[in-house]
Amino acid sequence: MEQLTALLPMQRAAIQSVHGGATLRKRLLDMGLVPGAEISVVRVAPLGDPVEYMVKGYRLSLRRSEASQVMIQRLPCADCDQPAEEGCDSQQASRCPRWLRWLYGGTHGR
Amino acid sequence: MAGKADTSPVVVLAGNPNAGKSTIFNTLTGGRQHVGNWPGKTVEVASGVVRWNGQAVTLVDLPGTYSLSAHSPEEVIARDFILEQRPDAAIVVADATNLERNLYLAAQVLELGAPVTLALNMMDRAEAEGIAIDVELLARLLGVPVVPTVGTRRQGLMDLVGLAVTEAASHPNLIDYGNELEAEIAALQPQLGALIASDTPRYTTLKLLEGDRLVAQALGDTPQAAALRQQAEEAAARVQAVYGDDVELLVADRRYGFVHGLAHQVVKRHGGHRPRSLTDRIDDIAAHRVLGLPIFFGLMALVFKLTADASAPFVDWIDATVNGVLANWVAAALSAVAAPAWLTSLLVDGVMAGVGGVLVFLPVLLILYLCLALLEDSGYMARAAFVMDKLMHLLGLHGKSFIPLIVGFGCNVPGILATRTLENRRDRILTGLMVPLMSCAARLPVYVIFAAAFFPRHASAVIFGLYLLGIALAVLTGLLMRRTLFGKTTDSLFVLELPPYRLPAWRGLRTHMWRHSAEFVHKAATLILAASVTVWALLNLPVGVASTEESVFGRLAGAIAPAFEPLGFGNWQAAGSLVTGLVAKEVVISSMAVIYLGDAPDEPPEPVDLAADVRGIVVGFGQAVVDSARIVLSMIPGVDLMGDEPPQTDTALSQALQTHFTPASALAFLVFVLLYAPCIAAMGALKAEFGGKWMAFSFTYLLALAWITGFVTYRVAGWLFGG
Repeated sequence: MEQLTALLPMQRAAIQSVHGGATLRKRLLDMGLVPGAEISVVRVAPLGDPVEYMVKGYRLSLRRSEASQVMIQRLPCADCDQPAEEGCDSQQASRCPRWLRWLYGGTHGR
Repeated sequence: MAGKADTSPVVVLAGNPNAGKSTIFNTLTGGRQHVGNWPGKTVEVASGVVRWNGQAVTLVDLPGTYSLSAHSPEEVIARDFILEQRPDAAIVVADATNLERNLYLAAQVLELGAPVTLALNMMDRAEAEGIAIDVELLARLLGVPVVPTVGTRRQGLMDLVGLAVTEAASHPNLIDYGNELEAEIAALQPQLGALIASDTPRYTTLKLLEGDRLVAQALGDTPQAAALRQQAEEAAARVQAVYGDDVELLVADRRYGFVHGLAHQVVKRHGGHRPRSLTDRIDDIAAHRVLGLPIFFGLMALVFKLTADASAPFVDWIDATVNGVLANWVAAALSAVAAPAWLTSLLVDGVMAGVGGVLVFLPVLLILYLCLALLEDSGYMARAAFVMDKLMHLLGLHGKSFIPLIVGFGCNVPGILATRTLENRRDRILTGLMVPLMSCAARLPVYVIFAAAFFPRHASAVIFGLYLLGIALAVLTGLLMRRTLFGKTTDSLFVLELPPYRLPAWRGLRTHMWRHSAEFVHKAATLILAASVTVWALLNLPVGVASTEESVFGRLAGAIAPAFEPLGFGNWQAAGSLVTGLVAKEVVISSMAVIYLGDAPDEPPEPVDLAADVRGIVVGFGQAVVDSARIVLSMIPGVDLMGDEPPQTDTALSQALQTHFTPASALAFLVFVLLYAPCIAAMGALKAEFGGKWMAFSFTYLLALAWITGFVTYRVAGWLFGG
């Protein structure tokens, strides 16, 4: 289990649990971030925060502080079907120059 | 269900934001809408009447929400409306391209006991994306009529209204929440029924178990109510012990489970891998890591130019028509019936000037609301918030707060009104308090005249410095107010849907423009008119007063002048021009011209030539359209249709100012003009948006800020300039 903020662009995960204050938590649940739902990172905002996610077939943006309240379990990524953990990461790194990854939000997981 | 026979049926429209609910509402009601308070509610919802089958049906447009819990004002409004007004039917507008999350809201409306008809909107788009929905199966599974719609086609929508009135069905027991929770609901429900009469006992019980504050409060203060609340808490604790999750999460989870199953059964996707949509491709540029911010600032510059510049010819046209031609007609008509001079003066200089003062905002507001509606309806507004949020969040604001602030540089009035695009009231007020510190275009003439008279070699640096000072103080204000006024509340949530880009419908844009502009005129007119007449009265009393200095106004100005002594301009002339500046900031200069250089002699009304005047008005409007078009075209880089306007200089006034001000006191005066309460129209806008209390607060705060900053400026500048 890790925080949603650890997910990088193009990676997928399943939501495990949702925390945070009553208002945030209820809002996240209402927006479809319920346990079991699949979520992936689309892109990071120009200034590094917030982050755009794809969940339940629509685009949702969350501040890092909000995303950190969502716990996830990584899924193998759609393209490569590699086992979860770091498979996707390393494959993307080899495929994609560093500056291009930064451009599309590579500084995401701090 | 049959509508109540004697009264016209009320049908509410509910739906997610961006599901196309407003488009449907606008298409059905056209321009015939009414924004008003419903009995017992202080919140405004839009409603309109449509005729179906010879019957008048009242349509109510509820705020767009994702859910009906009590966590946001919009949700509370929508929920309370359904609970308290008991509409005859609810049309839930669902976006067919995103069925699951939209059905989540539909399920809640059904649980509220309202008879529902489901409108599957944007079916054309869903088909284009390779999504096929089995409409009949969905209707059967949900037990309510389901109608595929395209928001802009009126005929299909009339059928929808007809179906809602005749066949909408209610299913308050839609979802099975599992053995444990259902057992607790079954145990509590009879006790609730004994305590209060509820049309929706199951729903209320469930909310009680979820720990919904508003529902718990509604039970009342009796010992029985307290006992029931206690029981509900214990029951919730038992459920949590079994599932390890609290009831709120359990309910959301179960409800999503239900709609997920539903969507799974009725939605078929063909074509394995979804191609990248147009939205993805636009966002690759519009929300790009590097290009995102420049594109945002470019669009903001465009909005600013449009509201400030493209509206200017129309503003001048309205001013010339009302205060020129029409005022001349009134004066001529009054002199024909030998009315006393004071009456003519009251009507022309007081009332008509006030009416003109309200109407000149119309072109500005129409263009502003057009821009905002374009940004909002196209889907870009959410991207603007996305790229700007980090920066604005440092000030404790939402990403969308940037837009009102930028617009405020053109004119504070539309800036304050643009705060409405923010969802959270705290953000709206905080931004509304910051907007007046954005130096609006009306303050510029004052800077130009003073800077040219006192700092000819550094005029542009002085003017630029004033703009920066305003921004810096706005940032400080934001930080200060956030800590003090709203200290206890945490920052508002961001959690924002980035909807697919869409081509805005003209009908929606038009409705938006007119409705909001008319609303401002309606709400601010009284205040502006009253201020105009008051200033007139002060200037012309006591009856037969010869000079400004001897009028009530001059004496009042003399009385408050000592307050400005520490700022270096403690004379009645400066104080008086600041007071008239409340009507509009640029009036400071014209007042000074009158006060220092003497009044222009009263001209007798020109002879009225009705035909020529009407022709002049029409030609003037045509000219304004042409000028405005030229200004818009000149915004395209490389196109310049404007030519350079000669700078306005008023040497006589400059000389007069140099004898009355020192450089230090002139600078302090400029700082004061920048900061003290913006014009009466901006105050009217604050009152219209946030109420009289916040208007009074803003007025006092700005006055104090202006005095303190002006004082510091005078002392520091005096020390720097050597006296």
